[in-house]
Amino acid sequence: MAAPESGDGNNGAARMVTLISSDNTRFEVEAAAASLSQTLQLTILDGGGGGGDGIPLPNVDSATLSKVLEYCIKHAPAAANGGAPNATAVDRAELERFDNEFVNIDQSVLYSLIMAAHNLEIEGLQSLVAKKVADMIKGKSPMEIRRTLGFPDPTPEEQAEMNAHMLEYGWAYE
Amino acid sequence: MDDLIPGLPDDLARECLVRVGFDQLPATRRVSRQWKAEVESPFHHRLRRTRPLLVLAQAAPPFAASGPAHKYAASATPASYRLVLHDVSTGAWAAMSPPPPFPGGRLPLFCQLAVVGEGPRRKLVVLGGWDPETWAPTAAVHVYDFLSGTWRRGAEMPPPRRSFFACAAAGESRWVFVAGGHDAEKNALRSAAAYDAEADAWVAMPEMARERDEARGVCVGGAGFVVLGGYPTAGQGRFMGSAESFDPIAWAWGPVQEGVIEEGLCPRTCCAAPGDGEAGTRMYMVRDGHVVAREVDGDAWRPVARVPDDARAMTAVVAIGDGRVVVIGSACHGAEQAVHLLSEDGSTSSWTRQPMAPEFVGHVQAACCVQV
Repeated sequence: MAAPESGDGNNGAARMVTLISSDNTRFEVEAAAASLSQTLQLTILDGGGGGGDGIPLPNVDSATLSKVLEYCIKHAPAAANGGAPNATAVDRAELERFDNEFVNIDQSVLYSLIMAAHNLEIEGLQSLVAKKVADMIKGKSPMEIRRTLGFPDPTPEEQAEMNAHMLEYGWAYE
Repeated sequence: MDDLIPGLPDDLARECLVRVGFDQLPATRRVSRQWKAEVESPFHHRLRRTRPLLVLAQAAPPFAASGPAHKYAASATPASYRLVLHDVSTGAWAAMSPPPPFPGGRLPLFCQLAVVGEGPRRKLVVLGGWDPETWAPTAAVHVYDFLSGTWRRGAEMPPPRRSFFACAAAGESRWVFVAGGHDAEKNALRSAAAYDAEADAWVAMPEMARERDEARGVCVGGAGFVVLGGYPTAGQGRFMGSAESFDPIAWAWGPVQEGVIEEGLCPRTCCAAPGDGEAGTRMYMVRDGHVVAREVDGDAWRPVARVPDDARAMTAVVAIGDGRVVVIGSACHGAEQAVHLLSEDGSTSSWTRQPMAPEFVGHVQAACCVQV
């Protein structure tokens, strides 16, 4: 009874899978893109996510999932080439441009993304977001880092420790 | 409130922190108690993606401060050397910040550089050389701690006042070795000493079998501290081809090995690949315009590649691991320096010319590599 669908999947038209976010939004996406997630790849190889069934993702909300899929769709062709050893410099530059703009987003979205990338085991995305958070720290003083990352104000003890460090090591990095 | 980063699970926060550049470590260390404990842990340093960074003692541009008066003054003064960092992967150049605490940030001429210690204990050590004003040899030792981002003065090198000595650090250990060179009366030396970078103390070493002025030191996996070539007082500058190896575990020199390098050849381009295992046992040098390589227990040098023309007047050669060697030189003496990266992969090798920046083309008199 599923013959027409599987037939389509094998001839030309790419196989599609459905993912369901925690707030019950359905996303239809090419299996190749969703397979960037190591977690989903196994389910998809077993034939899951096709037809009327979707794969429920109870830990990922729709806003985050749509962002994750944007990344996967962009990166799927290169991933299909096995890390794209034969990709042209132009292709690589385009991906890099995409990546840079992709992470130019609100911190709360970044955090949701890195957690989703971790849950779904999308290594490239996890590493991209982690690098972005690391870059947010670049060239900042300890107090600026605390403010950037939303630390609570330092307790008097912590402040005293930070001051002691400054006395010990001078203001070279302030 | 005890999260490494508020709002992120610690294992993911850690993924972010291991990607923070080495030059940010001093600031990150002061963000909170958790961050301090994190970046000081060897575990954190094992997770860090390290890449090779060259540390160079390089002549500052003569007209660094513009204006006619400075130009006039600059032409009358000898080159002043400063510490410069070059990221081999990105091609970026920067003057080391903060500069070492020498007057005006000027390095002693002919000082030696060594990187010692592992992970959070990694340090850069600047040893000896000549005072840039008086040209008097100095015993000064300065130590840069990559974690705190600060310099401090180390214990001075023990007498005699040594010039043009061999020097190398056993990468992952605490030891920086010095050997040979000459004293104030131009006597070639057999003596040697070891600097313990953890304890900030010098420890006596037995003497070498031969006097070795202008010898070259390298640390090689499985062989310890190897002192190559050099010449005795009576040798009048005629370089020997022999080498002696110091075993830090037995704390003793092995027998003199004859003919390790060609007789009469200056050993200053000798270097060794960092790291353990097979890669760490390979030595490189430049001979007749070619990079040649030899396993430490091998019996011959094999040619690897011809040095590019614009680096034929060589000043420094540094092995950076993974079959890669950096050659720094110029087309002729006094010309702008070019930096070339040689990558050896099986039987093939290729050169890449590193991007240069106008401020960083000065003469390089010493270089070492640090994985950060």
